[in-house]
Amino acid sequence: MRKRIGFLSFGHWQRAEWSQTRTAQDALAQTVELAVAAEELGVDGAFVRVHHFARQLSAPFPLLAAIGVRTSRIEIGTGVIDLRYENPLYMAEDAAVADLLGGGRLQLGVSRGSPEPAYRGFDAFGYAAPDGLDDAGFARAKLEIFMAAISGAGVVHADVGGLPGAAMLPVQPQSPGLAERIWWGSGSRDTAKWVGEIGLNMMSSTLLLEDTRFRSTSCRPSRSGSSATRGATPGTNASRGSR
Amino acid sequence: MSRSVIPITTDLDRQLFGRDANEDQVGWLDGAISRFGRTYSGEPDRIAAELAQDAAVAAADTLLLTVPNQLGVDYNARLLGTIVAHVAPAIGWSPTPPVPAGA
Repeated sequence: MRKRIGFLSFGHWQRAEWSQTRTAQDALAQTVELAVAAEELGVDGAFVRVHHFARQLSAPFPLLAAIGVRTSRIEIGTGVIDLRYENPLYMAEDAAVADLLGGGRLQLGVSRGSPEPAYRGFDAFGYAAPDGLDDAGFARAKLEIFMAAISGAGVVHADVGGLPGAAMLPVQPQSPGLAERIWWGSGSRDTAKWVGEIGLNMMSSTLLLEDTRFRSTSCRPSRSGSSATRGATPGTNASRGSR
Repeated sequence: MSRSVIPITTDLDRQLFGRDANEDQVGWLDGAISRFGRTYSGEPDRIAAELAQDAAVAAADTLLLTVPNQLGVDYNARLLGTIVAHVAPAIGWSPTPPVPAGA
């Protein structure tokens, strides 16, 4: 398999004298320009981090769409979207729109989030976990809804004279193949194992939420935290779907 | 898989990133010790050789390079260009072949 490299921008901005990104507009516009430059250099992807309540890139889809219309070849992705902050159906629409505008080049990293400046910021967004689910469990439940929605599953009953009909409606638009290009960002060995079990791609970062050194083993799904492996299909080395 | 990779090729690079940092950074995050992974900085040939020994990088099929975005587009494009030319080939990467004219 061909090795790929991409850049990952956090998109910081601050009014420091040395900073070339004094404003949010600087950070956003320069992220698009760097993606264009990266494509010209032969780099394979432009990825953005997503953090909320900080002077860094947040809502990813307008930015991904802008990169998509200014480039033609590179992968465009996130590392990672915090699902605690997302409405999975609205996100399914957003993702499909950005993917279609970019010609099917999204590679979306999603996760249950990382430590952040806001205290339970996702509650303020209106997404407190229902009783009986912890935040991680809620994020995983949203992942299932998101995956179903981008896979074309019906997610709501049709309205038949003010009553729910038998027909189920999928969200629109649908972008073919998007579901094969979703990655779960894992910061722990246990999650990495789960990612392998459900057959998602795995994205690991420089951050591991345990002080354990990376270890290489031959068992694929349990190579927890040590690799970002496209196609972490349990028990195989095969690439999954996307290409 | 993401890594910070900063080739040092100019005086500005040396001024900004000159301190060798080729070790895992461990810090206190979320109430527990967390491992942030490696930053590679130094002469391109040297970090190419070191990156080639990074087992996690070898196992991954995509390596994401975190960029110091506040240094601007020109700086970061040059950084990516240096990595493309002098570092990435050591981990088995080759540039996407350009699309032939008229294709």
